[in-house]
Amino acid sequence: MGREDILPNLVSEMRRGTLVLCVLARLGVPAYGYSLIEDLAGTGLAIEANTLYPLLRRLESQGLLEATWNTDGAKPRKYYSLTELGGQVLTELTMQWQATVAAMNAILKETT
Amino acid sequence: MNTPTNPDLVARYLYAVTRSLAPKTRPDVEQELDGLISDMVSERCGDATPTDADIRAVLTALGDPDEMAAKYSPDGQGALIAGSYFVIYKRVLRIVLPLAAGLVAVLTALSFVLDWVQDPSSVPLVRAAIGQVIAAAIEAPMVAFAVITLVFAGIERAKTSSRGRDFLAGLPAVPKAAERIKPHRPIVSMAFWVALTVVFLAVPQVIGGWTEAAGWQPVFTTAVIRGRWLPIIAWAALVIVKDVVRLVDGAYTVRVAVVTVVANVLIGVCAAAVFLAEGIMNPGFVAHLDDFMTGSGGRVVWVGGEHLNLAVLAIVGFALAIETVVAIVKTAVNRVR
Repeated sequence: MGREDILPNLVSEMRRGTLVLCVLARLGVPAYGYSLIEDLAGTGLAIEANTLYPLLRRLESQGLLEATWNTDGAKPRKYYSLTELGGQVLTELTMQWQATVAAMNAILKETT
Repeated sequence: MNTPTNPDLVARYLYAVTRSLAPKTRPDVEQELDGLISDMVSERCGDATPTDADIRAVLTALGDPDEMAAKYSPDGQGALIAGSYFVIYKRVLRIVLPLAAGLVAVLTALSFVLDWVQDPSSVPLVRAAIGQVIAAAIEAPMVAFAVITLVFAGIERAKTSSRGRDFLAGLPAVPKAAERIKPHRPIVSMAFWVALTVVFLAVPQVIGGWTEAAGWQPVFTTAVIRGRWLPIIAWAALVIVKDVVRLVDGAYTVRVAVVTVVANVLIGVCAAAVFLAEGIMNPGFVAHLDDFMTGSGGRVVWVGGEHLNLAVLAIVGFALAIETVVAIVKTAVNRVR
């Protein structure tokens, strides 16, 4: 297995852990799945639909998101938004993330 | 979604993703994914009419429906039985194991009652009898768990080895409501066969008849039927294989038909190995058969002499033949449709 095989796996593995935080962070405002994919892609973080949709459902079943169907438009859309619990988890995860980033920056600074 | 090109392909894809999910979540997931596919097609084609190639490109981008289904069931990831099959596996175990344990416990307790009616001195102390009932109620779900897990592992392995192929070519047809195999049927069938297997091997004497003259007479000779444990367990395992495939496919597919034909032929062999065993039928039961068949509406006379085993074997063979023909015909009708 060469560098070209190993690197994408490692990058994918590293990003996988950040997905929940990304999704929770963007759902302070209600959004449906496909709009969230486009929104995240616009920030430079591409997420595949077959990963995001099951993730949204899992977060909903955990009580971190709530969902409502909007049938006013031409296509029915399921809108997700943060619950109170989701907001609390987002705050905690954000703090953890910032601590991790600070620690990682310190580690990387020492090695470069 | 109503694309003029290949709506059937989208319907098949949605069915392939959602068929293994819990029934209450299926419509919601299906509607949401339908909207997603519609959005992806719209983005790809704009105002132009999507072609067959556009639909295929979008579905290919979404990926293998089995992998998508697996992501909707993350608790089985990395397990022996993972993803879409894990949901069905859990549902089967949740129903079959307690049902089998309960049935076996009741039948084992019944065997003690029957033995007590015949000869009170032959029944162990109450504490020992309760111990044996509990042991049988533990043994049945353990046997069921082992066989069901092995069958699901085999199907999971077959699925894993087929990954990487063109999944769009292999999408299952969406069966009409009347063509679907209701999930409770194979599940109840599995529980029944597990319980029956344990009864055959542990307390075969509960299967019998009672007359005033002869008391309780078991149908089978206990020692002989226990000696045929291998074909009896193989019989139950084949029934479970058949039922699991029915449960997974959810309709009369070619795979269901092939598995039904092969399993029923092998079950026929197992049945022959059991019922053609020397002395399998209890002579006491055969001798009093006419008495058992006497009811308020009249009397049925058994003229088969000691060949009751052949009659039982013929009934089993007939039932297997009917089931095989039904599976073949329903599959053929589905394919022609």
